Amino acid sequence: MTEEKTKLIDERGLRTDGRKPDELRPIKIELGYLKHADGSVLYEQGKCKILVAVFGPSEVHPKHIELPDRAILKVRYHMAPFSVDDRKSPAPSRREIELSMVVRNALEPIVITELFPRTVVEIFIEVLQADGGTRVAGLTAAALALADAGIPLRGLVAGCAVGKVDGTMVLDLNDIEDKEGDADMPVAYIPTMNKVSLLQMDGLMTRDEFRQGLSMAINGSMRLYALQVAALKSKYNQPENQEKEETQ
Amino acid sequence: MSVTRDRPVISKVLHQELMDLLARDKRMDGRALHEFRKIEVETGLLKKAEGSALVSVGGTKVLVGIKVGIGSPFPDTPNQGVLTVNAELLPLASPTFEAGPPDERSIALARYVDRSIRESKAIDLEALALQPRKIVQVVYIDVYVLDYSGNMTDTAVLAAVKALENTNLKRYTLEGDVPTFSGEFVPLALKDYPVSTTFGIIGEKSFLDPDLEEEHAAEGFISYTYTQEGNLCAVMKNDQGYLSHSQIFDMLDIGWEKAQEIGRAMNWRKD
Amino acid sequence: MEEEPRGPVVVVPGEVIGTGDNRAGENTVKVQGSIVATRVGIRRGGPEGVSVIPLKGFYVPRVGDLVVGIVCDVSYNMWKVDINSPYFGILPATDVFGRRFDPTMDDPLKEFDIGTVLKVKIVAFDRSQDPLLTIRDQDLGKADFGFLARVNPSKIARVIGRGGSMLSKIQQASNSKVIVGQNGTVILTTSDPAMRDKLIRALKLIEEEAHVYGLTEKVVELISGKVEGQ
Repeated sequence: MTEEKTKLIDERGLRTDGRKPDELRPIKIELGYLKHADGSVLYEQGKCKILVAVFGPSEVHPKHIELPDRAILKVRYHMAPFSVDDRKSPAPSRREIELSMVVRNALEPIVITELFPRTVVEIFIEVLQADGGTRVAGLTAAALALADAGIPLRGLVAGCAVGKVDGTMVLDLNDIEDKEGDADMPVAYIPTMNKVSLLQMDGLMTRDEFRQGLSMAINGSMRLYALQVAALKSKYNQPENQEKEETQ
Repeated sequence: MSVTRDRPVISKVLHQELMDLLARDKRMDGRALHEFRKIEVETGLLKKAEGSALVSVGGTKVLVGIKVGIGSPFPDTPNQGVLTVNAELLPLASPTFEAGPPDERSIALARYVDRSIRESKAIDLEALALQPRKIVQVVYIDVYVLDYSGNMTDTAVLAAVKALENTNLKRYTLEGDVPTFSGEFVPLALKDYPVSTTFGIIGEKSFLDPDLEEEHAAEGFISYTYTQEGNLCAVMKNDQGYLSHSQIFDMLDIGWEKAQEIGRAMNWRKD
Repeated sequence: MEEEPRGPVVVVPGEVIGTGDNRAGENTVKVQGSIVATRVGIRRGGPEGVSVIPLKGFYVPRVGDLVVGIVCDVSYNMWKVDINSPYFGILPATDVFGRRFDPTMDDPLKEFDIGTVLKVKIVAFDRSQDPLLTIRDQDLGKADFGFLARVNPSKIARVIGRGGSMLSKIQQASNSKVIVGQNGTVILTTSDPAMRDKLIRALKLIEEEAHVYGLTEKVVELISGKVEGQ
């Protein structure tokens, strides 16, 4: 039974979690979280908790899928059974299959695959706790893990989801806004190349709202990028694992 | 796991020819930059399906069959019928399609067609609820890609909408909890006709409805689905590559012009 | 232009570190006309161009490099050698047994079993095939004893030092031979466990402070200084 729709923006223009429409959730980045992965990060964005591990470049198995002129990427976006309210089966859902592809397509432009023909770089994105915007949060974390692994990159990619709730465009959707809002638009952006490498929209919005949302998302991605850069630089200065806590 | 697939080798000569033509706003098959290939539509060709359509866009052929059954609603939408979309990239359609369970491309296609139809509210799902919370009609949209020559996205969305347009639903009477077919059929009345437009990009140039060679050479793709009012109900940047946001905005407007043309050609609008 | 920066300038992938006029050195790439870093590391600028010394990097084989590898597979006519790189090295049986190699008589498994540590040189590598190795050169071959230590390959140059200066100081201070593979694998031949520990810590120090002035003195002090509690 659909109850009265939750009010997603209150009289003061604030959202269910108290944020302003263009406010990002607090971000926490812990690089090198896993000791045996070549690169890794534990990434938190609000209540989203995502673990990413990177391995490679290494030999390809089975050999027949290797490419003669570049490395291939293997990307797995997966949600843990306990990451959502109703337990989710561990078997990959259609959504996870599509999102693994969408995230891989967003990472291909930044990895300099031509440097390592006949090898594979594996990227595992494990969503431990989901609260909206997980595909772009996973992608932002994957860029950090790739850099942590020393995989040569053309640049970093960062992303966030915008949405439309109660007629207002908002940045960095949380779970309720994603489920009960009118539209959900994840975007990922490569700031140093000024290019969008992930873009989807699900819902109903006018063309003007789309334009507004895209600009908002790019702006949010740039702010996330600044946090990625700060986290990577500070790891260099302190080789021991260092938690970097940032708020927006 | 999603794994990088090899891109079919496109000869350097062909690639160069494509780029040269694009620089002069021309394409290999003589089309303008933002022109669809020839679109052919045939509906009602499958007698065992409640609705069907075969659409060709250039050399790409997609067949959609609609079956309508009875089932229970999803727990979070108890007063709505169920809409479910599946897509098969048949091995006979392309050397790059293999037999087996749906791969990521067919899943992505099915989910895009689903979003285009669902978010545009083209189908009145509440009208499909025979007994709220218990018994609803289930609309199965099965997308069969028969021949792949580029841009199966727009072709599939068009075929799905045309198939729904000519779908007839069984009318049921309820005796207690048991639905019985009354013998009558009623057309599924669509409330909107979503149209998808897909662009490829090479450098600064964008081109509508990429054919196969253009798809192999493109640096990025984007699809927009519009409602008849010009709102967006689905957007997907597809495949590898990237786009600048100014390109995204330009194509957004061109896409709407083209969607209106399709709408007129299909008699969905009179303007 | 200085060869060593006054204070390290840490750069991240995508960060612009030079204009189109500079030569693009190691760990850089040209993007939209500028030179950008491809890894997290320290920016280096010099007459030879701009480059980045990465925080983390893996070994990419180079022809002529001496590397320390471990045999991980044996077939009738070659050994597959793990050289700590995305590509396994191949040591052909003919290289060891000579051109008169007879598969019915010469058994590669008896010569070098799985797990054998080898000092080898890279003879050929072009990314279309796995690196080809040889043991036919001075100081190459099986390593019978020693402890294997792993150093980040991007820091190996610092372990060797300009003209081999750091390595000779390490060997002098420890009174032992230290064999350094370009792939980051190092053989410590000292039989003294306490000295071995000091060497391992010295290597770690070089890894962490590769960009710091006065490193050589610190390393020598670590190795030859007093051991705690003794």
